[in-house]
Amino acid sequence: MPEASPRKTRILVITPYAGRTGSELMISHLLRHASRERFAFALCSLQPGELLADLPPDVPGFVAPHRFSLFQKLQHRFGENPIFSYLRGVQRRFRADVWYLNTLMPAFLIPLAKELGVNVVSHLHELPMEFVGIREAEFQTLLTGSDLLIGCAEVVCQRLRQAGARRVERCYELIDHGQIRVDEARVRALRVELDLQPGEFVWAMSGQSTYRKGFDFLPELSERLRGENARILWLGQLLPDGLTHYVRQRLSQTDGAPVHLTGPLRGDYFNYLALADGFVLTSREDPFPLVMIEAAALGKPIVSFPSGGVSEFVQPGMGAVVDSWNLPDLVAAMRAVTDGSLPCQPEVSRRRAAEFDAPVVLPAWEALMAGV
Amino acid sequence: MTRPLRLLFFTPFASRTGSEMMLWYLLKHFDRTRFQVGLVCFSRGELLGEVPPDVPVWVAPKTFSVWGKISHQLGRNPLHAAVRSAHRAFKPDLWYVNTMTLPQVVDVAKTLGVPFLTHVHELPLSYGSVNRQEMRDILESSALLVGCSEATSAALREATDHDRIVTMHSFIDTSALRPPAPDVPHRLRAELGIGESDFVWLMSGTTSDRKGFDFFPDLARLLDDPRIHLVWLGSRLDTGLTYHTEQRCRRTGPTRVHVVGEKKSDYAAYLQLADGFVLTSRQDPFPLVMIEAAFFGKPLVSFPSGGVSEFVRPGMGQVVDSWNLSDLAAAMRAVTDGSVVCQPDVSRRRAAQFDVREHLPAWEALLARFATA
Repeated sequence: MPEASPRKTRILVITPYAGRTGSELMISHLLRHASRERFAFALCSLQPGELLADLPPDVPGFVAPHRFSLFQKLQHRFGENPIFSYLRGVQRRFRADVWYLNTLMPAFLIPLAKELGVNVVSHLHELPMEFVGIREAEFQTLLTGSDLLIGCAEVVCQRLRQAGARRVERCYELIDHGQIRVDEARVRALRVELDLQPGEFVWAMSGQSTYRKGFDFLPELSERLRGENARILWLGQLLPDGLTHYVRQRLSQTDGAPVHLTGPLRGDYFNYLALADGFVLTSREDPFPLVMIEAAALGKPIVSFPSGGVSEFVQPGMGAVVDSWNLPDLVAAMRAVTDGSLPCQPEVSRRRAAEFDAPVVLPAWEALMAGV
Repeated sequence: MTRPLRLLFFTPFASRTGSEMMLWYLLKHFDRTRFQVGLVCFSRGELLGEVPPDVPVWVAPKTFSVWGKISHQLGRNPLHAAVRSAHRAFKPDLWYVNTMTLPQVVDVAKTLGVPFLTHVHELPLSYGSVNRQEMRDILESSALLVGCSEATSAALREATDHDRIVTMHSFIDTSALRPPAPDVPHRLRAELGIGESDFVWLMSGTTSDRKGFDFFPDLARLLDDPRIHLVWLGSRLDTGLTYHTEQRCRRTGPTRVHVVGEKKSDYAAYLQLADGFVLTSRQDPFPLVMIEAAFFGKPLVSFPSGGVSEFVRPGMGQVVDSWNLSDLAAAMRAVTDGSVVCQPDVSRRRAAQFDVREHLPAWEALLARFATA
């Protein structure tokens, strides 16, 4: 008699935006590559995002109510949160064994999961500065009510354990190396567009223009690199806020090293990253930024503050994580890279990045999920 | 005799934050013969109970009731309406917008064509709370920008070509800061399990990342001495960061961390029980508690987070030229072991320069000049 195949674990992934942030791209990779013999997936986003259009055909997608109608507002006020009601319906249809809460934000759903008898796995991509995004009681529920907490870096796991969390496991962020495509002709064209001179050293940073990402360091960084034949590319979304306005104003007045703010890039993202000579991570806190892995995959040396997972990622020959929060120390490390006193070997970086390719990381994630 | 200048103040919460405490000191002490003052607030904060009786108050809704929402949908913004109503009733010559967090007020001021000044108590880290257009409006439409420290004004100058930027340092009311009964600090120390010869470093502020609440567990780890205590005094924000940091603090040692919350009635006693004040802020324009700690003769140690660098003089402590916690901890040790010599009298004299009575004449002169310009 043939052996009955074990029942698949049914996982409902709940994610805040279904956007292209690192934490949600990771989910996209998981949904695309994880074993279908062992898992069945559905995804529910709390906002409509573009990743919903890229879902594999066997993954049903749902979008929870995000702009409440007048009826839903009244329901929220006098009855149940409409998101709860919606998720009850999703659960009836999909019959998930596990709700996989991606990031801190869906933590408010843990009591509902408990009520429905569903296991909860919370996958955290945040460090303390982002813990302000949820309320105290929700954070407590996250730590005590999750059947498993997954941290995207050792530093994230440490922070959770330091706050008393028990079942904490690490699963590093991953990237899909197959999607890193560089068009050399386009890179050459971009160098011309940017009027890059021979010998000029281009430092790239990628991220939103926030305080956490260190966007406000740019003017001083530019000034400290004055006259050093270097320039800085900031790749990423420029938020329409006062801080961004302030930094842009300051940059417009500085005569330091040139700074280019590209805004969000789609098709050209890897071309810009490829034209850089080095990657400087200015973040004050960053759990395990995907762009750091991508830069290493392109063989770029990395210089960074000790802002989180970068200290776990960078190995000898890949650049420097300075043991300081002072900009002069970061600049000194950048100089050590440019003048060769800190030798960097692109091959070392590429090999390290390969350890974070989706097919390498996925078995570890699947093993974790098998234990839930 | 000239008619008194009619000022309509706008302030967000009427809470015990530095920017609003300073406003209340002004409301209490301004010269009634030269100014008549009204106040619009956007929340029923506790300081409303302490508004002098000759200052009329309007509370405008920042969050709308169901009817307010319907009214808003129909084109009548309840907040704008309340502001206009206060303006009609008080007939001010000038609006005085306290903090950068009230862009809606700026909208109405522009519509009405009423001149306004903005008293800025923010540094760039807080600029993220307004959008780009709001920021532009505040910077370009304010007839005068008042920075609460030179650091604040310098950041404003970097953000705009606007040439009407002046600095008016924040101040305290030393008469309201009465020393506690001598036994109270001892009792509080005993309640916290702090020995009489132990060294207490106090920080005061909300439990936010801007104030550096999340630094406390690591700072305790670096100090690593059971005779040193860290005390955090201030309101607890309802965030995951507060919970996380408190949990870490509970598990740290041998330096103990005491998160005591907001202690209104014992505020001065907590300042007094401390042996030193450590300002862990990442950015802080000109914190009043820094002046208050100096008023009690406490040495100060701080990151170079803003106005503290303008305030601390030799003999008062140290502002480290670094953002490394290890350097902050080293400066704290230098104070406790006496290698940085601190003289309480120097601190007290410096604090006395930031009493409301010292600053009021300059503030009144500024407004009078502004009104006649």
